[in-house]
Amino acid sequence: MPKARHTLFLFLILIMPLVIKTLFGYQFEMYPAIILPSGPHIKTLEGNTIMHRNLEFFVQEAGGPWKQLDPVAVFSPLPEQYSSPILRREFGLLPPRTYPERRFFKILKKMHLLDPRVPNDIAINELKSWIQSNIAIWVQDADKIKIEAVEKTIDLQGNVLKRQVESAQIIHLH
Amino acid sequence: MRRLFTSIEHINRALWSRVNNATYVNTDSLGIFRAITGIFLLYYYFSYTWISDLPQALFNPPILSIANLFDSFPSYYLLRIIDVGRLILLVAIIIGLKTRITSLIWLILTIIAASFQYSLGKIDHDGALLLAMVFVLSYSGWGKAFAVWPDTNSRYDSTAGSMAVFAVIICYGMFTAGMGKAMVWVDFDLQTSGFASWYYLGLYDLNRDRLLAEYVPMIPFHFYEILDYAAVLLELSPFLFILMGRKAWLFWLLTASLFHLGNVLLLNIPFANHVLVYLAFIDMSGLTQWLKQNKRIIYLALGTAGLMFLTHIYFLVSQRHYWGLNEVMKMDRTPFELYSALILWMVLTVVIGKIFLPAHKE
Repeated sequence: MPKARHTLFLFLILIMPLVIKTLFGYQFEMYPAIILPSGPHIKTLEGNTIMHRNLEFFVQEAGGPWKQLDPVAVFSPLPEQYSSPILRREFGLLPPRTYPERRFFKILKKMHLLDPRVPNDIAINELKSWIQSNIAIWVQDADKIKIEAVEKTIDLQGNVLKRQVESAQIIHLH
Repeated sequence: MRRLFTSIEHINRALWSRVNNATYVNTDSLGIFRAITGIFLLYYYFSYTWISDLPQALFNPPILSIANLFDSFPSYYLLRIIDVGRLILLVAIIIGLKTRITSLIWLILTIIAASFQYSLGKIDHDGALLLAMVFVLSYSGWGKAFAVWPDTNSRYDSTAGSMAVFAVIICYGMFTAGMGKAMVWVDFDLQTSGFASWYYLGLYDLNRDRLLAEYVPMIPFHFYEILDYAAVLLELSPFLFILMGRKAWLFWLLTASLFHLGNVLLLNIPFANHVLVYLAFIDMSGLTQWLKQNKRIIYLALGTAGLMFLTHIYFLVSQRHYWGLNEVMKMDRTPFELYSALILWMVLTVVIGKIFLPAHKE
């Protein structure tokens, strides 16, 4: 039978990752840790519609029209759940994150755990070739890709009534 | 002060004693469960080598993970070694070859490989309790029964203690899921819904439109509020059920199985690892005698495992990347996991449900 100090130890081991994640943000979620998906977001019914934000993926051949592709299919056979995080980070091309001057971050910086990961030219070219090969089924020689953050108004049957682009990021492949 | 510590110890002992009563299963049951775990993991086995072909720009490891100690995705050969190691270790787990050490090595290899998989910007949470289970049950004596080379006693071994600690970890895990939801979903507002959020996110971002998902919009929106509260209640309540005794704990497990079955059907979220997590608490020791009399069942299970092992080995050797049995069945991974989970959750619901039938004696 565990003694009280063992119980306390177990409690601390379990709760520490959750405390760190709650205090410092999701990017500080430990792995492995006992944290199950919470997903505490909600949808609000407005009249007979709801709003939904997501990222959409487009490709364009030189001079041609933009063509929308399903990111899950594009990244297949990668597990489907990684398509959104990859798009959200703009394929790793987002500028590195900065952290406030707090003790926790300073300790992690000293341990080189917050070293920025900036892809060099070789890595960027490798990425572009990878994207080209993934979209080759749909577009032979894409010139650009675009990630659009879109807000959709949808009715409860799932029909999109309105689509509004909030932001767009274009990446040149050549 | 001494009186305070004594009373804390007393309360602590009383609580653990209740958890023990609710969760205990013997080593015979755990021996069968260990073999089932190995077969389950063999069924879902896949190779991690695909990670090595990803462009380094995508490498974004969780800051507090092993992968963050590396500069890039690992080499193909390292991942191949991990793949082969994990596969052989699963066979050792099934037949019971020094299970404590083989389980722990399997666990370490899986954590290393998964750390790199989660370097794509997202940590998947469905494996957390499975990994905890393998770690904790390594000290439960699950390698003693039905084992070719049984574990010897370690001073850390405790069947009752391991099961109790594992149950508390499940309760805590559920708490981490339920607390966040409770603060947002329990708003007494029929115009908002967390369930709808999961549904439309899955539908638009992940193409989760299989099984009964297409019928979800036919449910009146206000009804989703009930589902929200039910989910929060389920996720925040397991510890109470454990303290109420074994029947109550099994009832919670039954409710949780139905909850997951609903998630598979409506939201297409498989979470199949939790089938094992809950099954650990079902007393299967009654099967011991039956299995000894019906050895054909054991041969069938071992034969199936052997066939899966050979299939995995063949595809690991003959292909650069191997996505698992779904590839052999010419299926995408997503429907493979979804339909497998549907069957597993139905089976588990029946298995636990039968315990509550009047004629049943556990």
